[in-house]
Amino acid sequence: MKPPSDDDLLEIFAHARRRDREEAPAWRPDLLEGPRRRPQFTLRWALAGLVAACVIVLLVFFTDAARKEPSLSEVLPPLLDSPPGELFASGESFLLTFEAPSDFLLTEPLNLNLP
Amino acid sequence: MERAIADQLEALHPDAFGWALHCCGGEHGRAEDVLQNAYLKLAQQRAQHDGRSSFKTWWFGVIRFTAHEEFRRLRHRESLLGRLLLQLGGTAQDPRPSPARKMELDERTAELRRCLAQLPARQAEVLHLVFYQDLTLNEAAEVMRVSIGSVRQHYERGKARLRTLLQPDHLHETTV
Repeated sequence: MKPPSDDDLLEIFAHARRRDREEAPAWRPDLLEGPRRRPQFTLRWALAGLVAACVIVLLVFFTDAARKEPSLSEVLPPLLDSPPGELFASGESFLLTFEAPSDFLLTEPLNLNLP
Repeated sequence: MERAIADQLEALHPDAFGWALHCCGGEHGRAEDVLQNAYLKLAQQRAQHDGRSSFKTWWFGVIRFTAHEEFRRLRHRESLLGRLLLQLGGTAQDPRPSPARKMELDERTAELRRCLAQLPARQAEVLHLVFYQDLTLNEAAEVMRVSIGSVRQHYERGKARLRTLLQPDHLHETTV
């Protein structure tokens, strides 16, 4: 029970309640009855769509499986058929004997004498 | 739907509308939509009373939850589509009541609604449930899905704050 000191608030809220009741929309029992069939309807269409999608997937799968395609090794020409050898064999000998024309410009201390 | 439940809903309909109106900040159209959606949940059996609480507190909990769903949906729509429509031609709906609607509202009811809107949501809810819907604090706690201790705290603080806001000099300050 609310203490009697709350009567002021009770009176204000009771007044608001009376006002709201006057403006409340009328009770419509059809709100509780009408749309119950709706989920069955949507469920039926969802199932039909699912079955159709499965049929399409199966058709595509079997169509692709039936079509025989040659393997990649048969289709492509032979690649990299040159004989194996040492990589950069010619380049290494060239670098060892190379002398640049400007080598005489280098000062003596900068010339490296490798043991 | 069972006849007994339909009869209970019919008996609760005016109070349920009052609760929906509170949950929607006094917006008549939105409250009607919320209540209609709550009835739809019952009709589609998306909400069922399991008997753990009274039918009234359970039903008010469903309405409260539906109003929160509606509010989130509305906020999302206003944030994207509403802004776009406003930019394109100002065709978006103004959520505030029209001047004609304001005139229709009783001044005391409007004052009460204005003061409740200034309270924290939980305090306003518990005051509405206790004073307007005549629920006990335990029942209000069930509707709001909070503990009884929390509800009691919101109730006491809300009452004190509402009395301050309803004082004539305070009302004069806020309206001027």
